[in-house]
Amino acid sequence: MHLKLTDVTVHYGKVQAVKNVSLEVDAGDIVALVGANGAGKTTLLRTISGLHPPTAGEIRFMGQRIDHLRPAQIVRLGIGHVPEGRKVFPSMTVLENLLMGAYSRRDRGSVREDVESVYQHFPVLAQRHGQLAGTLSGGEQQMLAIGRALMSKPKLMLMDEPSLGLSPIVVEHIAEIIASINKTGTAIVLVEQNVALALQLANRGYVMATGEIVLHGKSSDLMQNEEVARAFLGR
Amino acid sequence: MTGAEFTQTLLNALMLASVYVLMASGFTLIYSIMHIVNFAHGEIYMLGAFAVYYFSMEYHLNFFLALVLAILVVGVLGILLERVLFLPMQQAHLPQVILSLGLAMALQGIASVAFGAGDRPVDGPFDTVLRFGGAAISMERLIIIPISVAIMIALFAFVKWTRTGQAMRAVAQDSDAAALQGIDVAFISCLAFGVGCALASAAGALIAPVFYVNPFMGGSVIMKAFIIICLGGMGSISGAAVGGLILGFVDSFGATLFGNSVANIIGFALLIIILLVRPQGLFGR
Repeated sequence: MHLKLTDVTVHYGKVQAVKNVSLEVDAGDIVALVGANGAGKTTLLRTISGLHPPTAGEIRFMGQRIDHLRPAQIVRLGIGHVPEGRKVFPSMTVLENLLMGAYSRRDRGSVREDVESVYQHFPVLAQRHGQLAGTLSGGEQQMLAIGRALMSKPKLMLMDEPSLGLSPIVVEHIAEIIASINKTGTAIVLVEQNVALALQLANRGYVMATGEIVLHGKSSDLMQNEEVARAFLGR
Repeated sequence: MTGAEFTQTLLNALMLASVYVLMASGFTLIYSIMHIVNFAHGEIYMLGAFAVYYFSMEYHLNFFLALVLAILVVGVLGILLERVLFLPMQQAHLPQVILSLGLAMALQGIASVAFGAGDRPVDGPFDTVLRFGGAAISMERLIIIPISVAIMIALFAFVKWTRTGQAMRAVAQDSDAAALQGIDVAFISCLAFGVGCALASAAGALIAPVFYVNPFMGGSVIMKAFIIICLGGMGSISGAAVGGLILGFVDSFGATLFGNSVANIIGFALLIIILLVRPQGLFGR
C-alpha cells in the first residue's frame, strides 16, 4: 500500500472543506481526483503534503502515519507536489528552481545527473536554464514545476491542475510526460478539471463534490457513468 | 559649498548611508520572509549600541571584538525572540506586527530601567582625524564605511550562494512552494529574524562611537529604515542598499545645505514622489 487516507476531515477556519474522505493509491497507480471548482481537491492535496493539517482522520504513507508531519518531512519520505498555479520561484533561474527541488536530498552527488534527465524530458528548460522562471510562458512554468518536483525523486507525485490555462498542444505534451513519469514507477494523484484527460491517463478515479467523495472506481467505469458524463464530459 | 565642505558632506553621507543600509537590509529581510514590519527594529539597533558600549567601555574589550560580540549576542537574542514570541503566533501577520510594536515599547522600557535613561559615550577604535584638503573627518566615522560594505557583501554572498541563503530566497518568493521542496519554513523565519537583528545590531554598534548611546535612539532610525524600504521596494535587499544610499545622501547634503528639518522633509517628499511614480518601490516586484 502506498498512500491511504481514512476518514480525513479538513477545516478552513470553521468551514469544513473536506469531509470524511477515504482514498487509496497503490504503487504504480495514476489516480484521478476530479470534481467542480471548490470541491476540496486542492485542499486534500495540501493536506497530504502537510501544508494544511487535517482536523480528523488518518493519513498513512507506506505504512507510516504522516498526518502530523511537517511538509519538509513528508517530502523526504517521497511525496512530491506540483502545486496549483505552478508556484515556481519567479526570481530564480530555471536551474536554481530545479536545484531547489533537490533541497531535501542527501545524495547531492547525483543531483546534476537528474537535472540532465529533467532536461531530457523538457528540452525547452535546458534552452532556458539561465532565464528567470517568472519570465517563462505558462506551459514552460508548468514543465518547470513538474521538473522541480521530479528532482526530489518522489515515489508519489501529487499534481494539481497541470493542464490549467495551457494550449491543447502543450496539454498533450504534459499528458505524455505524466504517463512517462508513471512508467518509471512513480505513482501519481492527478487533480484535474479537464476530466476527460484525467480519466484517460488514470487507471482509477475519485469524484469529489462539496468536500466529499461521491463516486470512485476504475476510470473506464467512471467514463461510462452517466452522472460523470453529464456533469463533466459534456455528453 | 566649498570643495572642503563638499568632501566633508560626501564622507558624512557615505557614513550615514552605510548605517542606513545595514539597518534597512535587516528590516527588509525580516519583511521578505515573515511578511511583517518589525517595529522593534529600532530597539534592536539600540541594543546593539548598548552591547558595544558594555563590551568596550565596561569590560574594556577591543572595539572590533566588542562589535563582533554585539552582532552575535543580539543576533542570538533575535532568534530567541522569534522562537518564543513570534513563532507561536503561526504567521498571523497583524498580531505579529502589534507584537513587534509592544516589543519596541517593552525593550525601550527595559533598557531605560536596566541601563539608565542618560547618554553614554563609546570610545571609537581610533582617535585620529584625517584631513583631505580642508575637510576633516575622524577615523571612527570613516571606518564605518568599509565595515558596512564588507557586511553587505557577506550578506549578498550568503543569500546568493549558500544553501540556507537560497532557501531564504525561496521562502521569500513563495513559502508554500518552499515548504514543498523540503525547506523548513519555521527554521528559515527564525534564522531570518536573527540575521535581521544582527544587521540592526551592527548598525547600532557602528554608530555608537559617533553619537551617544541611549534607550531612545531607535525611534528616529526606524522611520529612516521605513522610508528606505518603501523607496527600494519592500523585501528587496538590493532595494534597501540603494534606498539607504539615496537617503544617506539626501540627509547629509540636505542638512548641510538647508538644515536638519528641511532634510527630513526632503526625505519624505522623495518617498511620496517615488510611491506616486512607482508604488512598488525602485526594486519591488
